[in-house]
Amino acid sequence: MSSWYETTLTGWGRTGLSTSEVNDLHSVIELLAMFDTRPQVLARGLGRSYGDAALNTGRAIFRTAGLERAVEFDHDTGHFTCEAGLSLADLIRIVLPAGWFLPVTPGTRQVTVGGCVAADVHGKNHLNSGTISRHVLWLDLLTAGGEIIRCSAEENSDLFHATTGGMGLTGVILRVAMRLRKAETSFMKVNRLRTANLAETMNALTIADEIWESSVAWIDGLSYGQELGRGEVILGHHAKQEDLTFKLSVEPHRMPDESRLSIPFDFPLNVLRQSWLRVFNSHRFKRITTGESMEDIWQFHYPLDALNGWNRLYGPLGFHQYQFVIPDQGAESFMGYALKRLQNVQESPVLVVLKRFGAGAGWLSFPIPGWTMAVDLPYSPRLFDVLEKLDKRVVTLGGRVYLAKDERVLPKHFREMYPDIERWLEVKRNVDPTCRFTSDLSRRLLIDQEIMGSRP
Amino acid sequence: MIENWIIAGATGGLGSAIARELADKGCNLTILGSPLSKKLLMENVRDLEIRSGNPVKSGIVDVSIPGTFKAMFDKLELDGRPLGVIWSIGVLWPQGELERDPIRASIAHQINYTAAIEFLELAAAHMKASDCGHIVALGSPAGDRGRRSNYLYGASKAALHTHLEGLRHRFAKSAIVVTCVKPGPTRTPMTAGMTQRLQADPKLQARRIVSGIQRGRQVVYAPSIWWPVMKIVRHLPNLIYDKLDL
Repeated sequence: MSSWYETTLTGWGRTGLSTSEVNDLHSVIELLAMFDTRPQVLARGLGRSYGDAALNTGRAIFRTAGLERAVEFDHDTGHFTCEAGLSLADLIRIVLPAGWFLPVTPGTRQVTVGGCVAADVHGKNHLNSGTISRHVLWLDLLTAGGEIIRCSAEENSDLFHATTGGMGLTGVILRVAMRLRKAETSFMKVNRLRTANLAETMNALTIADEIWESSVAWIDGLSYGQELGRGEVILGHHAKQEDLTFKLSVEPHRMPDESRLSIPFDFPLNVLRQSWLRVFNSHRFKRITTGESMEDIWQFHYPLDALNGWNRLYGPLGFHQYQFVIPDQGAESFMGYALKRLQNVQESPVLVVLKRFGAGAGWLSFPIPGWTMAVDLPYSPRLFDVLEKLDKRVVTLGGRVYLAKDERVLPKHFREMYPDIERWLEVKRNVDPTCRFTSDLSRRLLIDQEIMGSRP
Repeated sequence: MIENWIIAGATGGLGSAIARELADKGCNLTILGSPLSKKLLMENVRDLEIRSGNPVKSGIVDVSIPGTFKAMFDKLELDGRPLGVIWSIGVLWPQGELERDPIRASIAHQINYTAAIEFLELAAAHMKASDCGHIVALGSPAGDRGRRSNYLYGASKAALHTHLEGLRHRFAKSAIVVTCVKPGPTRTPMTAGMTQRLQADPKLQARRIVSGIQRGRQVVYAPSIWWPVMKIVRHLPNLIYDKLDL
């Protein structure tokens, strides 16, 4: 039986240490036995949330990465059921050889299935496939009362829509059943284009989205003037058997080994300096090979997974990823404005990614139709002030910030960004009136206060 | 590599991680667990079946009862295909507790080593007939040299090491491979509550161990850094060793 111990944790951005009591779970039985031993808890998977979503300072955390059993896999229909702590990396190892792949995948495979559902993640194919919750058949949720409730879009649908995107605040997701997508091969047919400025980048994405299943743009964050927003538009869809060259078709579901490269220690200072990045970015920009090619799924979806622990490169202060989405109206001018604004912050921005979104989903799910930009920013004292000002504009434009990457949005902005919050709070009041499930994020956004305050 | 594996102690910790690693490689597995973990054993069977694409057999064994492994080996039907066995049952109870209660220490030895005798010898007898196979057991760097902080655990592992050494010597002229695995501290239920900093990830450990098994190594330290470390520790003169706080 596992036991509680005290340890310090951080978000993926490593901006601050948080001490909590942790229990590494290995089975659902264990969770049920340990659940009542602590008054306020939070489930944490592999800790890839950038900000404070997976932190619970001074309280208790269940680490769920040990709940990683496959429960059911139908090779014909592609219906897959597993425990929520299974990582996408392991999931792929199980399903890809049988010709199936994730319907939606974030930019890393070192996340748990439960975490993906709780953050209702999107992928490069959002325009076509939506968020992960669209492909969830059902999920089992351990609620505050100790009950296990099965919910789906049809059954207990309110709880389902509150849980997908609910950042783990409605309960612990125990098992998830989802519909996989067919993947004839483990390769992607990829098209890369070089774009000269922001307008061209956005234009290329808009046109290409009609044709290609997946799309994303890398932007040279340090470009300026006429070239502001120049970059590379990356388009892809799953390759069919007949797309493969003879050499590749010998082993169409080839699985590469997990990367062994890793950053072995915490860097004593941020090595990602603007001066170096400027060289790197312009080099990368010049070396973009335009045209069609064949890449494996890993190169296409998970380029950053090639280097384990890359977040340690940012040094002791850590970094922040600012990801927002705004509707089409006024998107171009705001993207340009945001880029320029962030370039004035110390050593920023390191990595900029731009993408178009389709329809939204759960009540606290991030995507809405429009444009999203994700920017990696080394932490500096002035950073959060600048971002707060950007938040204001995002709110006026009807946009929002991604909770899975956040650690600083103000409660008042949060409420304007997520207008469905009232419906969500209603569900939360019903299933968890005493806030047994809480996190640093929920307390910062005054969710707990709202719930507890509404009780006499 | 051998495709049929029996894993004793596959309901938690390293044992189940190794089972998953072997399942991912498509092996045929039989997993054994204690009567207390019956439900977990069934969940793991389902998981391993999906991962390996093969049916997985399971069995309940009670290491406190002598003869518990006999029935399982008697039932074994392999049609002459080679067999591999992995012993990964063990307990690591705090040294202080065992010093205060020597009876508990002898129970720990019963689980860690005495029960293994039967398992290893039955496996050896089974393999002798076909003259091929693979015997693996999880020892520990703690068994390399007695230390004041955990010699009661270390002694049981040292016995296991010597047993494996003997088996290897016995089968040196045959195609039976014997591997002694010595994993360093790993983040498993066994070590819950101990210092976290140096603990390795069980999945990575399983990958290292299985790759060592695949290569037919005699001793596998996981991670391999423990090999030079223990080499030094073992060769320190007592004069120095006794002064160290290990």
